[in-house]
Amino acid sequence: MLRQESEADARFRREVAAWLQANIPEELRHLTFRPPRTEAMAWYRKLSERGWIAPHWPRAHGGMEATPVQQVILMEEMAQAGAPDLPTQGLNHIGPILIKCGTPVQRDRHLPAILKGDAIWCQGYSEPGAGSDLASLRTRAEVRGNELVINGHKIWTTWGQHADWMFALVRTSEGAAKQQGITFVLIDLTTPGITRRPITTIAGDDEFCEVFFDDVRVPLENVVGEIGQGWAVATALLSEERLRIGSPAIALRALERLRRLAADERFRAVDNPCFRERLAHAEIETETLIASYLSVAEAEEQGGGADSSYLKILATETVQSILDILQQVAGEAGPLRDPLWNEAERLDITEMFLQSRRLTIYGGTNEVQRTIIATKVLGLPVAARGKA
Amino acid sequence: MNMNDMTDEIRLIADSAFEFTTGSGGLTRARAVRDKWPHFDKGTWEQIAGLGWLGIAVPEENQGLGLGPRAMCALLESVGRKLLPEPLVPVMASAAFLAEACTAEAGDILADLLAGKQLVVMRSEPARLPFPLKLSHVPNCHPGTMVLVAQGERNLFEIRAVAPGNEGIAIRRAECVDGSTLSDIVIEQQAWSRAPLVASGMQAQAAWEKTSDMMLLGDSAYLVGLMDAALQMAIEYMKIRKQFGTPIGTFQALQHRAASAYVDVVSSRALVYEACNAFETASRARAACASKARASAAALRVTKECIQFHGAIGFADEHDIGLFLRKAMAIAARQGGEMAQKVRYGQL
Repeated sequence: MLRQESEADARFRREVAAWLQANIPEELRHLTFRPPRTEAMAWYRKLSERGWIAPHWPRAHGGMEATPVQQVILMEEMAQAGAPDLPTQGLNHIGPILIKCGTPVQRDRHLPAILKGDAIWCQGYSEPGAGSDLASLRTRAEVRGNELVINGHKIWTTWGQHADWMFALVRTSEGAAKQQGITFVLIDLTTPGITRRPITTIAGDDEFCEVFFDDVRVPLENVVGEIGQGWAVATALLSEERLRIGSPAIALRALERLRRLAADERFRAVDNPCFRERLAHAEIETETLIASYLSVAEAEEQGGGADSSYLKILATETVQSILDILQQVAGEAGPLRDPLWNEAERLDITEMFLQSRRLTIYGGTNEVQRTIIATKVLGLPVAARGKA
Repeated sequence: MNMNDMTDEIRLIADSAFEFTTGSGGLTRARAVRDKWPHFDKGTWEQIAGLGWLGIAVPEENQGLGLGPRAMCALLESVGRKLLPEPLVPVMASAAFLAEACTAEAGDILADLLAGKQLVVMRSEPARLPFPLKLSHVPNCHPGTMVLVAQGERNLFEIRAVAPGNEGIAIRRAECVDGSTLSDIVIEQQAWSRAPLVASGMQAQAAWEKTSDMMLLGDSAYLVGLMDAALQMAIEYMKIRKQFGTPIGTFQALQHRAASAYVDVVSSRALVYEACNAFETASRARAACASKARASAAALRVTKECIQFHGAIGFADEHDIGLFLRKAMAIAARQGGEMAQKVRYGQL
């Protein structure tokens, strides 16, 4: 972050740095893949007890209500300390959705569990035939008495095999437009009739899975919003979700990896003027991303009005460009599957590079994002295509 | 910058700067000035001085507006949208430096500068010995311009006000693609000693470095306005230009490239205004350097794309879109473009 930190913010940074240093277990540092559930959740709970698990949540719901600057401080310090990736679907998606659209009963039941790490959530949006064209989803739900009976197939469900709950979009009726007739529902994944099958990614981890529903009965009280109005619920927090998916957290982590690799004796990149120019590029792009994030987040705080549609493209492509440089620095070691070790330091060569391919695909591919900017922000005419 | 982020005062300055630039001829005048090299529009300059812009970064007790870099950048972004040809950035920065220098010589020069009677620009990179001092590619040296030149360092650092064309100070101007000029200046030792000493010593050096960074920010902001306006022009064109029976703006190949250009514009703007926030801090130089690197690279990317979006007419000089690329080339190069700034960033 380029700007001057206030006394209080500087104190907060020192506090965060010292606490992370003392509390992140050694074996969890600088990992690319999420650690196994038990280890990940132990760390999650520690952060939660410290009060830093939900920086962006309002205080009234147990969050930290951190300023955008404090949020960036947390990201920067976590990247530097090598804090592991945690399951975020609860904190970043369903939690805020329930705060905005949930009933008091739904909030009381689920929000504390998310904060404490007692429940892991996954997102049931994508289907084999509904990716970028999400609204064409076909998982059906039929209202029978006071239950929904769900049949269908979700896929690319991040951490679905480890999750306790899923928030899902299901089709309860056919409308004139395909966004109509979709219902937003919370599904307890221990309910009979659910089968989960992990999918190995090109990075070599089981980051996501597919989930099959065979006459799965869900009480109607688990519907968020009205039956048939699920699309509005899923998109109610668009600009807030754009801040999460467009945050500089991953870019900061990638930059830290690049610096560590470059400092290693075997690669001696720091003496290479060509590398120093590439590193300056990576740092400037990261500062650009932080500045953009702060500018949108601060406008949001003051009641909105700033366009946030570009953050996802900027954030994800910044990460990928940093990891391209990392691959170049690795030179002949570039294809090594497993991390190298430098005394106690873990040097990731390929894991994050491969894993980062997903960034420009999930949450609406960057191509979909560009079409949205072109037509909604820049006002270019919409091309004739299949039924939208 | 977010509109919410602007104070009313800054918004007012930005709006009136845009109105002035449009009202004083906008792109038509930018083109006319380009074609009449070496031309300096004295009347417009006096009007600009009358608006007080030249002293935007000068404290009120020195008859300036006493506003910070954010206001300066907001103004420059606005005038960049219509390619204002006058050299605001080096003059605003010179004024800020002269006010900081606190010498009698500096005070006299500043008064003439603020009144619009004397064009004063600064050459940020110090001249190197031996004599004669050779400065190359100095922008904006219209006839009669005074150039603030730095030489030496630390206790021996000094700034003198040099008048090219006077005895012992030779100048050779060359034309740039945007109608501005770059000059090579050669200063003989005697002429250097005769030139008024404006400031000296370590404090002066610190102030000089700070105003040099101010120029980086100012040029970056101008580039942000320039690329934003170029993109807007291209978007309007893509809405009406039809090929294959449909506006070319419906083609995804073009839509996606326009969206990428948009990301470039808004993110560069965010960086420039964040760098303004860092202006009074230890990260000032790094921030200014990053802004200039990013804005220069982005402005060239965006304006080149805008030519392509226009097709053949974009390649024709009669269309104004070409003016944006040519101006971007000139401003991006000032004090070093993307590569030079990244090399410097790596050393900071």
